[in-house]
Amino acid sequence: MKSSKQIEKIVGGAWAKAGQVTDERILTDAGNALTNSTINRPQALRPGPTIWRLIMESKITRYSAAAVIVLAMTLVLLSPFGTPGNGGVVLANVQQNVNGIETMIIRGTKTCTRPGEPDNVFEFDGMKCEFDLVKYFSKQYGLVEEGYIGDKLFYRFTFNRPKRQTLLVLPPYKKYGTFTSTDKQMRLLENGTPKGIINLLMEGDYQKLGRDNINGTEVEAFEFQNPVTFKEIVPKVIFDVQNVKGKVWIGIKEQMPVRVEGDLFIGKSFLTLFNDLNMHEVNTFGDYNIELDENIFDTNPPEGYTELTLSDILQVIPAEAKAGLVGLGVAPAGFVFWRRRRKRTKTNPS
Amino acid sequence: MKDRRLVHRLSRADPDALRQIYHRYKDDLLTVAMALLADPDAAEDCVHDVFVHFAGTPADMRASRNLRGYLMRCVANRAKNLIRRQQLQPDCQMDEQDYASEQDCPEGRLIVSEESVRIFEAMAKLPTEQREVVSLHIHGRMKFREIAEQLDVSINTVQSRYRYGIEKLRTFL
Repeated sequence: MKSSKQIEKIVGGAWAKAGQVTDERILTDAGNALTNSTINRPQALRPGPTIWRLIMESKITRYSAAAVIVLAMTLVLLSPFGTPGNGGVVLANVQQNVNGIETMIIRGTKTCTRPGEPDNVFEFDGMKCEFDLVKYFSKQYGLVEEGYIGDKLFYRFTFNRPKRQTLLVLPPYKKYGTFTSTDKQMRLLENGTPKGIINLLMEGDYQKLGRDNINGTEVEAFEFQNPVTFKEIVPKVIFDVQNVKGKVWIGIKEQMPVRVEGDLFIGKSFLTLFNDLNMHEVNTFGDYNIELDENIFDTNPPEGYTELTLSDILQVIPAEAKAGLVGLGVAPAGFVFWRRRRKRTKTNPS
Repeated sequence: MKDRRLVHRLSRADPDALRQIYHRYKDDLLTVAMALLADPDAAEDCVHDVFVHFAGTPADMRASRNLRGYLMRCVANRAKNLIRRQQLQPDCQMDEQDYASEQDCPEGRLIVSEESVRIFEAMAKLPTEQREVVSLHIHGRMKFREIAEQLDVSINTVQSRYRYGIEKLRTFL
């Protein structure tokens, strides 16, 4: 007698298959049942009506759909992400273009004034803080910013991207300072380049100011305010950027920035020597993808220069700034007042 | 394509989905029907009725989680109803005209091999409860637990029916 397993195997080997006639019969009747069932089905289960039919059945959905379409068309036609076919500036295209820039030279001015007094230029150590700027930008090597007063170089910031190092040179004092740069600081420095400007423009709210003509170039102007990039890059006690407002003029044909103006209101902080300041900067762009020597971005201190120390800073800053330094804990109170006392004793022996 | 997707398409009255489901399960369903009814015409009618009902009642589509099990249960229920209502007694000796052998008529109605006929005849001698359990477990590939849920009996009852059924088949085969 066979075992249970064998019986299971034998039984499992039995089969029946449908022939063509059976297939046709069952499929025809089932197909008819399917067709008939759709007529008597609940509305939700009925096949057929397309999404448009459903939308058009109700006034609410009809008008909602119309509103969505109008909104989408508006976005396509008016937004910066639309096509450039309407002759305007497309920021996405501009961003792509500036990302493709390898090198450039930017020229402009930087002026520091007292708030509410546009003609009252801030003075530092007897010099008016009204600089002519030249910036050298290289996607590969970094950024150099030179500030001139008259024909004399007052400062040079060299940010070396591969080394992640920044060198500040102050030729009038034969002093230099170096520090390591973070990614955020790198972005801050890049904000002065077309790439940075477009990023600033696109990362927050901006307003179109209409068309203009700059030196024969048809441009469209944009205004932006308080971009996120400026926030929390450095502690407020060091550099307290309270308000940023910028205008960018972008060439319609070129789809590239032509000019930028920025106004920064900086509160009392270390870098403003504890003064409230307005900083107005104007940059014009033009020299793109020209050859720049790698040595321009060298962060080695020049020969004959000595490192900037706290004592150097204390010599040139006013008393209120020194008090601020003490408040920040940058300089010990005894050190500041001892130096002041020594200076006074020297100048006034009585 | 997965069963769930097919059922969804069927709920939108897609005849192609119906065709695919039919071709996927028709032979297994016919085998179970044959094992339960041992009558080719009745088996064909059984599967026919199940598919017509299945296509015409979208409310039952929620069974899509286990389409195979759902269809097997439908066939088993339909077969039991046929037996109950028509007092249909499975043929212990099937007429040769009732079915076509594979070689003779591949385009015909129900195709059953000679060995299968012998097995279905042997199964027809089992009591309906045992036949049902044996067929659903072996041909329908349903677990004892699923069969117990379907028949609303305990799993032990299902297993004992299966055991008795197999024991009897040992004497017939």
